[in-house]
Amino acid sequence: MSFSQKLAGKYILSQKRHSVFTILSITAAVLFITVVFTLFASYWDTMKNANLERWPWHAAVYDLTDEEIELFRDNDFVEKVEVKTFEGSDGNIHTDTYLLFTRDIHDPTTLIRTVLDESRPKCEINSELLFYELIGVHSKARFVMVFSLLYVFIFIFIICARFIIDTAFEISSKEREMQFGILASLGASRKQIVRIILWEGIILSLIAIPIGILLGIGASYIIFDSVISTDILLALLGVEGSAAVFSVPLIYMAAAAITSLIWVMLSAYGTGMRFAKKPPVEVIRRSGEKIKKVKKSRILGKLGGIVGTLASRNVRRNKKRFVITVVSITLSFALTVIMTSIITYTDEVIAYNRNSDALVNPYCHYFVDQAARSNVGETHFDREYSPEYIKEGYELIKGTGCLAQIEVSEFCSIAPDELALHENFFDYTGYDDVFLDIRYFNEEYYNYAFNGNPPVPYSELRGGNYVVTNYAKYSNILAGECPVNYEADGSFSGFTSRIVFENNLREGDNATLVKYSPYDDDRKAYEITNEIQGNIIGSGTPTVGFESHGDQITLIGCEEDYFDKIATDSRAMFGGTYYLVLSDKQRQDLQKTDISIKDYIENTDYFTLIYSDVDGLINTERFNSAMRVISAAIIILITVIALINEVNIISTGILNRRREIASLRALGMTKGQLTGMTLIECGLYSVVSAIATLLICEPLAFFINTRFVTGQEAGAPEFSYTTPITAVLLILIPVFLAGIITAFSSLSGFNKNTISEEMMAIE
Amino acid sequence: MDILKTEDLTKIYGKGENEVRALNGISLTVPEGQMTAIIGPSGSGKSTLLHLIGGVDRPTAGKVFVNGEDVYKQSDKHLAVFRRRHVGLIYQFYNLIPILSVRDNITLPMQMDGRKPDEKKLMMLSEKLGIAGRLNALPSQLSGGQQQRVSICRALFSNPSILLADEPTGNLDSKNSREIIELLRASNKEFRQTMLIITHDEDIALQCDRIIAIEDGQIIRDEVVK
Repeated sequence: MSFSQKLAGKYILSQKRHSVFTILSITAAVLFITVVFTLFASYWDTMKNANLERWPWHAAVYDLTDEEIELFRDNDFVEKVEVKTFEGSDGNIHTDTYLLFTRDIHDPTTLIRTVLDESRPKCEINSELLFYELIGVHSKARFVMVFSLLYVFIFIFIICARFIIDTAFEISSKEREMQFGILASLGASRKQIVRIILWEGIILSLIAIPIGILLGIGASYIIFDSVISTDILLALLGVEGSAAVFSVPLIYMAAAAITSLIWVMLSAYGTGMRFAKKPPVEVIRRSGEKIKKVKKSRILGKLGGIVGTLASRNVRRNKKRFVITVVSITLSFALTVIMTSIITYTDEVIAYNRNSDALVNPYCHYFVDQAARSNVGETHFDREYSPEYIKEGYELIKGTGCLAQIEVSEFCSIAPDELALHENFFDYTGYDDVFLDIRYFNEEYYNYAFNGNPPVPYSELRGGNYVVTNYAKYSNILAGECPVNYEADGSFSGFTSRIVFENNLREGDNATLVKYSPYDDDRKAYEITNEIQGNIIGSGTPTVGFESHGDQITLIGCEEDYFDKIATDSRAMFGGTYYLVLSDKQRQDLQKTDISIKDYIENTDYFTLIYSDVDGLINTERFNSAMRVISAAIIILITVIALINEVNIISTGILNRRREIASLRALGMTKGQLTGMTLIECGLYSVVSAIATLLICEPLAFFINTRFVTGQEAGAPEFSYTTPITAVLLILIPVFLAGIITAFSSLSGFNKNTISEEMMAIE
Repeated sequence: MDILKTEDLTKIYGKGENEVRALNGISLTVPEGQMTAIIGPSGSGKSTLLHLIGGVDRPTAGKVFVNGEDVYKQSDKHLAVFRRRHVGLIYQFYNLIPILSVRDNITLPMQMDGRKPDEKKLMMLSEKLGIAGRLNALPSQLSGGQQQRVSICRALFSNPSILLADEPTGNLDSKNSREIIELLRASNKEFRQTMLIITHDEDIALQCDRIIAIEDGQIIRDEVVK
């Protein structure tokens, strides 16, 4: 055993307190890295599992001949081939060939092209499964990118963790500075002195790393289990909880251990070099210890007398130590405040969305395709509607009792090339596309949308009358700068409809809704198949629960007109779409109501769910729950790290001043005054950190509000300015308490010796 | 043969108005086996001279030759080896490593060199110094006198070319002081150890072969007593 190893071992045993702190610091860092790696591995294996359950093949190639199938079977890069034949809707026999590739394949798509000698073979690649199984060069490249991003995240944390590991080594080495000087004067080279600290790092790492990994695995499992129970996987990744896999791959644990060890070694090496470089005579004589003049705090001097003066000077005598302590506590404060603010904000958003109206929640929309069961590839735009069928469905769903409002909406778009004919209009809007939207509200929803103050009473809408919205943006039209007979050609996804406004969308204008046959390219013409006349009797834009697409123009009519007149008369000329608006007055069990509505839609012939806005709300709630768990774990970890640092620095600071404290006692300072001095020192660390946190978090809240939140409807939640203050005050207490407990515990050790013994500070 | 030689050795601390010339162009030679006392008032530069000779500090100007080798032409690594093998340092406050036993403290320079200590020599030397029965004790378990003996033993154990003692009796009572000086004297006689001893004690100085008086960084008196 070399003398460096021997000394390292003896120092570890003799400086138990420092060794414990260093072990704790390293353990915390390893714990975090392990959590990140474990959760990443679990996510990876979960996604792999989910993709396997969804579709356990790497590729599917369609309508291959037997010879082609054999080519795949014989290919070295194809591990497994399965063939399914079936009769298609065209009456022909079709073949679907499913392939599993070997791990060493370069690129599946290229392989298929090569085997079939086709540049665009009819196939489908399960790129997600390939990615999660890391098969193929693209998957591997993507993985490297993802893993690098992960490492950036870990790297940022390690920089922070390095603070405390550095501090731990720095403090323990500082106490032995003179001994290092003696060793140097006796002939120890720099390398030998550095090796002592390196060996300390290795020995402490051998203890801390396994503990950190085990604790990290445990913490990961707790987080994993908590996240699974919130259905966040389903919400965010579309993965059922049953597919979730908790994974602890050895290679990741090894990566965590190696990463931590490297950082500890870097820290130990840096500390060792700093101490080894000092000239031995300076260290022995302590002539290198330049005590610079430290300003006292006048306020503290006035408030606390000599005790306050001493405390303010003590805290600032070692700037580096002060900065490190404050920065690490501030980091913990700031992270806690930010996470608390985010969760508070999303809680408020959810509550706002839930409670914005007792009857109608505009975000709880179910976008439902009416009148037919959907098949894959079909949309409701492809089908003709029977108005009788539409009305039957309307009556049926109205009778369910679980829904309050039905908003029927249909729209077409005005294509830009048509707009080019009307330069003023197109130039004015500056948009590539303008939507014209016609909606039919029932009375309750109409009054709600206009916040109880509609431009015209609902009863006046009956009989083909409309209110026009967003007209202000098109004031040029209203001023008559555009051609009188403005025509718009609907060409969105198969729509064949036009709207002609005789007098440019003004109040008092007559609107003619015209249905056309598909545009004939040869004849360059449309044929009119139906027309409906409408009158614009009012203008105004709803302020509540009204979703518009960009700057679209909306005509609002009454629901009864649609079912009584338009749907019947025009044979469902446009794509009728229903917005089913949830009415759950209690707003207690959104999820339960959501399930019952979805069950209803699935079990009825009349409706097919296209998407649900409620899912967004429920997902946000699930996400919030998961965020609470994850952020709580991160906050606890960061706070523990900050507290470890604070405790280490405060206790060491006191112990290093043993002679000084003994001198003060010899001069007559009472224990109470000594305690007061320590209280003020701890308070200074806490208060300075708290102020620094607020200086970071309040401008951040302001930035978020002005950049992202402002502009939303009146009354919508924003990032709170008081949450940071409350959060800081709450975490100030444990930080201050930790400091006090540490200081008292360190001071109590002095009572065992006499004052003269303390002044001699015999080791 | 001159085992030690300094040429215009100068050490300046600070700059400009704060400049302090601790040593001002000191040149001296010390033959092998000579026991030299260095005396002078506080702040005269005695310790600085000792530290420069021992390779523990770096001169602002001038040279130090030990065994004909320019000490400060060496790299840091070689300087460390030089200290390990050719210099024995004894301090006023002993400067033992508190977590090592007496045995380990004594053999520390050898361990740094990667050499196995000679147990027989260790026993012989420790018996001579009266600490043979305390080899496994920690420094904190020893009296001041005993700690200084350990320090002397450590300094002598590696058979250095020169032994430098900075106020070796400064922290000891008169009885222990006498015993320490007697030990040093005996070592000088028996092992032909070249010694430089800083002392305020005239009696100790008079027991040496030569007295060098330093004041304000310069030698003001250099006389061979014996």
